[in-house]
Parts: sequence; C-alpha cells; structure tokens
Amino acid sequence: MSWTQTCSPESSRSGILGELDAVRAQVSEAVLALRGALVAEWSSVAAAEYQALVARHLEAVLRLARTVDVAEGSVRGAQLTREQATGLPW
Amino acid sequence: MTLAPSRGPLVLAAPADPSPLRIFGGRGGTVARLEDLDRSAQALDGAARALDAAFAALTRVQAKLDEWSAAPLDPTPEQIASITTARAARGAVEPLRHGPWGTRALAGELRDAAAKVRSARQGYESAEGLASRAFRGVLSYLVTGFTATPLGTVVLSKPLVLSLATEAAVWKLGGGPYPGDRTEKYLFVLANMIRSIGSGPRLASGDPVPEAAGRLARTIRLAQPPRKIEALEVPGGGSTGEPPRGVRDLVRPFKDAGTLNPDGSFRGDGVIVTKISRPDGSTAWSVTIPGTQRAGAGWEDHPFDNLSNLELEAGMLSDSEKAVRLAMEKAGVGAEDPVVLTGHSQGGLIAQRIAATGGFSVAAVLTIGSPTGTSTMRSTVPTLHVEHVGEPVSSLDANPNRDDKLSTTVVRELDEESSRDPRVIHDTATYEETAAAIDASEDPSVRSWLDELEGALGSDGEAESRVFSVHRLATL
Repeated sequence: MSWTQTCSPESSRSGILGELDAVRAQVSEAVLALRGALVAEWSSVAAAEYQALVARHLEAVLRLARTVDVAEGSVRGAQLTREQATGLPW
Repeated sequence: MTLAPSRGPLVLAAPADPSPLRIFGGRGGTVARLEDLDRSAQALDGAARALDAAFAALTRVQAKLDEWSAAPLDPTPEQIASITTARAARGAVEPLRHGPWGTRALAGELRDAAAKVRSARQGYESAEGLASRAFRGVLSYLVTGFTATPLGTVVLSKPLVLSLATEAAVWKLGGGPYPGDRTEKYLFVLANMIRSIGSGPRLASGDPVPEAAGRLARTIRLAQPPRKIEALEVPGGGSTGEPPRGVRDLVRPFKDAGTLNPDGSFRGDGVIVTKISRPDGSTAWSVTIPGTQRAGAGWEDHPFDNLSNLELEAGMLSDSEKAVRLAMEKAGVGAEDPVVLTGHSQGGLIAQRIAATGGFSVAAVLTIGSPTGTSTMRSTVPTLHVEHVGEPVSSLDANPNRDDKLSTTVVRELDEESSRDPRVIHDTATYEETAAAIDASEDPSVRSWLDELEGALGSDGEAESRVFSVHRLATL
C-alpha cells in the first residue's frame, strides 16, 4: 500500500529526512482532499464530468508522490555519504 | 432530421427543438450543478494549498543540500564523494519543486482549475433567473414603499384593482392567452397588502402568501364549528390493472374517480388509493388526490374547499389533508410501504404536506397545476411539478417553483386556442396530454424522477385501486 493511502503521522525523523516526511504529509493531504471529493455524494447529472476533472488531478498528484519516493533515495544516499565524510550524523 | 439542400454533398441539418416543454430544477438543474461545482472547486483548492506547503518543505530540503554541496578549499576524497551525492540529490529533488509535474506546477494547475470551476459557477448562476430575480427585487422595493407607509395599503389597492380590471377587459375583448403568469405578480402585491393590514407598516416579504393565507384561514376558522372528517370507500369504485409506469399513468385516473354524476360519469371528487403487489411479495402504493371541489370556505360538506387551500398554503393542517390521510389508513397503507402521491391543484398541496410532515414513507410526489412555489411547499422527496403556461392556479403562490435537487418543474406551452381558456389550461385531461410528452422526454431531471417512480412502485406487479369519497360532517 502506498503511503498516499494511509494517514500521515507526525514525523519522528529530524533534519532533512524529517523535511521529506513533511513533503509526504502535504502530498497525502492533497490526495486526501481530491479522493474525499470523489467519494462524496454528487448531486447533479453533470457529476461525472466534475468527478473526471478531480480524478485527472488526483492522478497527477499520485504521479508526484511516486517522484517523492525516487528523490528520497537520493537524499538518503547524500546524507549517508555526508555522515561518512564528516563522521557526524545529520 | 431534415435534408437541407446545398451545393455539393447533402448536409444533414438537425431540426429545431420540437419539445413544447421547459424544464428546470432537479438533478439537471442549477442548484444541483452549483453544489457539484462548489465541491470540485473546494477539493482542487484544498489540494493546491497542500502542494504549496509541500513546495515550502522541499525548498528547505534543497537549502540543506546546497549547504552540503559547498566544497572546501582542499577537499578530501570522502568530502568530494559527499559533495557529489549531495549535488545529485539536489538534482533529484529539483523536479519535485519546479518540474512540469512538480509541486509548484501542479499547485498552479489545481488553482487554475478551481478558478475555472468557480467562473463556470458564476456564469451558470447568473444565467439562471437573473431577470426574474431583478424584477421581483424591484417589485418588492415598490411594494415596500406602500406597505411601510401608514395608509399605503389603501393607496395601493386602487392601482391594483385598476390593473386587474384592465387585464380582465383586455383578455375578454382581445381573446388572447389567459394572463395566468401575471397573476403571480398581482398576488405578490395583494398578499403583501393583506400582511400589512392591521399590523402597521411592514417591509414587503418575498414569500407573502403563507402569512396572508394563514391570517385569512385563522379568521375563517373562528367562525366555523368543529367538524368531523370522514373517508368512505365508494362501492363499486375499485378496479384492477397494471401499476403506473409513467407520468401519464399517474394522471389518467383523475377522470375515473369519485362519486357518480346522475349521468353515470364520475365527478372526480374522490381519493384513489392503489395497492401495488410486487412479485417479490412487497407492497407499494400510489395515491391520486383531486383538486378543489367546492368554492366555499369551511362550510362545505366536501373538505376540498378554499379554507383547505388557505390552510395548506399557510403550512397548517387542513381538513382535506386529514381526509386523505384517513383514506390511506383505511386502505391499509403501511408506515414503511413506499408511496407515490399524485395531486391535481389542491391535491398537489396535500401531497407536498403529507410528504413533508410524515406518517407515511413517501418516495415521490407528482403535482399537477398546483401552487407549490411558497416556502411551505418545499419538496422533501423527489418531486415533479407539472404546469402549463398561463396556469390560473399554480400561479397563486406568487412565487416561482424552487430550483433544487428534489424539485423538477416542467412547464408546457399550450396551443393558441387552449391557452385562451383557464378551464382548459387547468383541466386534468389537458395535463394527461402533457404527461405523455413528459414520459417521452429525455431531460435528465425528468428521467431521474421517473427512475425514482420505478424504484418506488417497481416495473411489474398487480395494481388494485379503491376509491374513497371524503366528507366534512357536522358534529353533535
């Protein structure tokens, strides 16, 4: 299950990875706002077109979420190399 | 579809819309659409705000990576490796901020989409009924000029009487369409005048009929002794057949109901309660409620009179509503059984009241030529209001019908000859023709209401109708 489908608890990580957790939390908020609109009760006969508009943007935000996962790998690598170079955890 | 001649290949030209029906409200109406537009805009805006916050957090991540990317004067190999990976990470984070699918671009797109949805909402809202609302606003302002002034009501009565007399004279002499639509404006003025009589200067109300009707009804009630309401089954009045499947099936029974005339025809003054036994063993009901039967106000032996009209518009319990409830109870309508109520004229008001005040599980209401635009007649279940242009009765509410998810209004323009005679305009036989056109309509609000009808009554089963005559009896 992707993290965009779960609640986002307060980050327990500090530093740069904590900031990335904040990014995840906000992207989750965006997903939640759009997903909430999709499952809400729609009233008009034109509901399908408005739902399609929301669904299209939800797909774009989910694509962004996947990019966050890719970027986290690079940031984690940079932090590890930095710790090895300085002997100090960040 | 017609073939239009042209040079070269023939061109298929669509015909002009042949439908004489104007439809508003319901699931295809303005309010339903506005609610959905609001929901879309809110979701898109909420997502945009969250992505703005994500962008800010990413900016802090990049600042830290920039700090790690700074090279000392004489870096060690480990430091070079650290700087290289920090710069690579910065490159990986950059698309999250400024890329075509990054937070900034997406937030902008979401905000643009929300703005477009809001703009569509504004356009949709202002296109609907702006002229009508503006006219009512000006009228309210003018009427307030009189009703808020001592003796203003007396002064206003003169031009009102003159206008009504002129309308009547022009209609009789000219033989043009019956001016039922303008009645709404006159009633608006008249009802506001009644509100202000004896209560001192007052601002005009946008919905003056319920209060004015209530004042008149309470005054008449004071002069009436208490009466007992009764509903009696008409022997031999029942019939069996198929359950109603459309608007026409619901309107058709009006002419075959009630007590008998000396010539053997039906007076159409009774309440028909139809039991529908569905193949799955469940029971549903269709109730057909006639319109006003007597011109009096409380002293008639038939409770469908003008006192009941006033009480219904005022949102009070009327003798006619009591009679219909009694007929339904005697027919065995269960509290949980789905019921469809069809009312002509006053019958439509009774149907709206029963649906709103409970006691039965009303699934859908059909009103035919009923004045249902007042706040007391607000729909609580899916409701189809059917009216004709120039209707003398449905305009007595001094207000247009509401455009909301539950209320769909269909207005039909009659041919020139029919539109001259208020009796023809209001007749159930004319409404039966209109009902056939409604059944053939592809309008989404109409189809949605017909779906509700089918959901309540089912598409098969057996129908058994009983007719009840209703009475207002003297008590000892």
